[in-house]
Amino acid sequence: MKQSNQIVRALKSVAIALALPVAMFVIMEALAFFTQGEHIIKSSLDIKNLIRSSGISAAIAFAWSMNLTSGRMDLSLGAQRVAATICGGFAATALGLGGIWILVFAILFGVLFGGLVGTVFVTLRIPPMVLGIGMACILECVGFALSGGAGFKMVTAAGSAALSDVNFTIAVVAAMLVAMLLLMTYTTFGYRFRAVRGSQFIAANAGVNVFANVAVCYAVAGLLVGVSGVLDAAFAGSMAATMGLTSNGSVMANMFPMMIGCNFLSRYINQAVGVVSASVAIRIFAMGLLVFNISDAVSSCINMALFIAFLIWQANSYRIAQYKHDRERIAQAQAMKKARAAA
Amino acid sequence: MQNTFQKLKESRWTSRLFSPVILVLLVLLFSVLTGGRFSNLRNLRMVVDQALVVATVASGAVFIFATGNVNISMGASTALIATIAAQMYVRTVSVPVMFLVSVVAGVITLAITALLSTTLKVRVLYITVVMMTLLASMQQGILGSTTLSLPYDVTSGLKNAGVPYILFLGFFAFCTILFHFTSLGRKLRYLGINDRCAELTGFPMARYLFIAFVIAGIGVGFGAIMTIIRNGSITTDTCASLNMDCMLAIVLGGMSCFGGSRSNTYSAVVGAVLVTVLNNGLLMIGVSSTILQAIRGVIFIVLVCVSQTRPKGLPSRDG
Repeated sequence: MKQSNQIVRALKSVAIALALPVAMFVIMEALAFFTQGEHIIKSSLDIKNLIRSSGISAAIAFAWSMNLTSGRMDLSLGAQRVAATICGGFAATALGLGGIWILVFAILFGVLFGGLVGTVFVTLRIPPMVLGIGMACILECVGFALSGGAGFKMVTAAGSAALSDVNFTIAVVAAMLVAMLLLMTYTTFGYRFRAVRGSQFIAANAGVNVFANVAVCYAVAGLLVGVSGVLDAAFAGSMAATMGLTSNGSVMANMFPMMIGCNFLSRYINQAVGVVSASVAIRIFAMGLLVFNISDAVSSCINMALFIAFLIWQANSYRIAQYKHDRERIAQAQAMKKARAAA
Repeated sequence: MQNTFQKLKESRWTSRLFSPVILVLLVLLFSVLTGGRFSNLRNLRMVVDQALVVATVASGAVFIFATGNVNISMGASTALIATIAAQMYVRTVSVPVMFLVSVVAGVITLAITALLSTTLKVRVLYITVVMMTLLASMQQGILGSTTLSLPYDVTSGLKNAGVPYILFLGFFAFCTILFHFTSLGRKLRYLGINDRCAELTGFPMARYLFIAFVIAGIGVGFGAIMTIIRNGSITTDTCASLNMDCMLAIVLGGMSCFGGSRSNTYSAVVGAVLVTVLNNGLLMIGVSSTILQAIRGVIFIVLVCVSQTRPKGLPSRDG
């Protein structure tokens, strides 16, 4: 009995995880087919692109979730991503290594930069967003200065073809999903992370080292953006060095899947699975928009408008519940009044 | 000794005079390092010209910062409004229409941002982040890869007539009167110190935050006009660093990024000039523009750290 219940629960979770991407696919496919006479997935290349872009998006969304769910807006994530990829790429090629070593070094630099931001944050205790802006200025400069403004050309690096292989992307995303699932659900770190997210004050009084936990969160976020940076560079051929805080543009858009995964889907399924599910759904949506020959800018506008709609719904969903509750109470009161009158 | 230092640090005169003193010291330092080139009249005038846009936009942003909120979409808003206003000039060939559209569009843009937060209850932090991306995408959608140029005689005529100075002085006077000599400023500062207490006293955050955003919208409109006059053309890179410069200006000017009683309008102006002096001076002594950004980042963090009273625990809920 217990075993069958577990199976039912597992199947239910799988169904919920698949529901959003499938629903999005059906809607966009129907829109594309009936208005343009086209399909959103036309070839195996589209599937590969979907997997790659979903993987990149999920990695960034995971990185956002490490701090934003606790109220810390880290605006240096984009700069960490650029700096980690460029530094990792240059370090690997300088040592005569290529392929997967670029990813390894990018991860190391991601942890280093993320850990640095986290350490500065817990040491100085200034608002995370303000600190993020300052650190972004410094990290963008690191990437730009190291590459002489040219960024890192992945296509010229040895063994880089392996990084753009779709099977490799699937393996990385799967490893990331499993790691995040285990880390946030079954480890002491995940338990403490949730305690700090609930209340720093209570967590500290309960014996949690809040400062260390937060610094590790930043380091994990750095690791994840390092992974996303390498996948992105392998996909696009290079990682451009940016200045003037423009590095944030690429990561901002992925705040949307993080919000859906962490604030909505996590009510029904594991948060890590929710983030991946939301990332796939958002990428399907973006692919659907391509059929309508919409420019990147307009596509981004639609995406952000949807994000705002989601934020509004999320902030006001309690009002609907409140309205329903009030109506029930009124109905009960009226029924009682009638019953008393009849008596 | 430590007590005296603490008293000195907490004195309101220290926070008021700290930034102007640093500004004077920086001007003297750069003058010495550049052999007097920095302090010649032409260069100083250029510094003031460069600081005008940041000072105007930051003066409006002070109203938002005073409530303890941060709007990080000021740069994107200014860029979009400048694009719309320039587009309007190209269509109508009318400077008054361009001015009117700029101010009205600025107010509408920031009013929408405020309404999403105040009426629809979305956190200011989230909404400004999303608006930053949305407005930048809108500007990119309007411009594409093209450059929107205005006739040279129009922009130079407006510049020679001192329009940027008139706009800045008028807006700064308006902001200063509102912020320091009316109850609005006191209420905004009160909300910044303790929003719950202020709400219980009868000053709803939603109403005053909306007013703050509208005033900041006027600043964005004026800033957009100044950008058009100064640059003469608009691209997707226009105002790219304005957001950072605004925040830097407000913090360098001595205002707390947590808002509250230490908020004042002159911080924006002193800070804007400080930022420009720093940029200009470092470039003149041979620091590369790449390193310049890192130096600004370091100074930003150090000054926030030194000038703010930091919480004992970690700040999280306020962004």
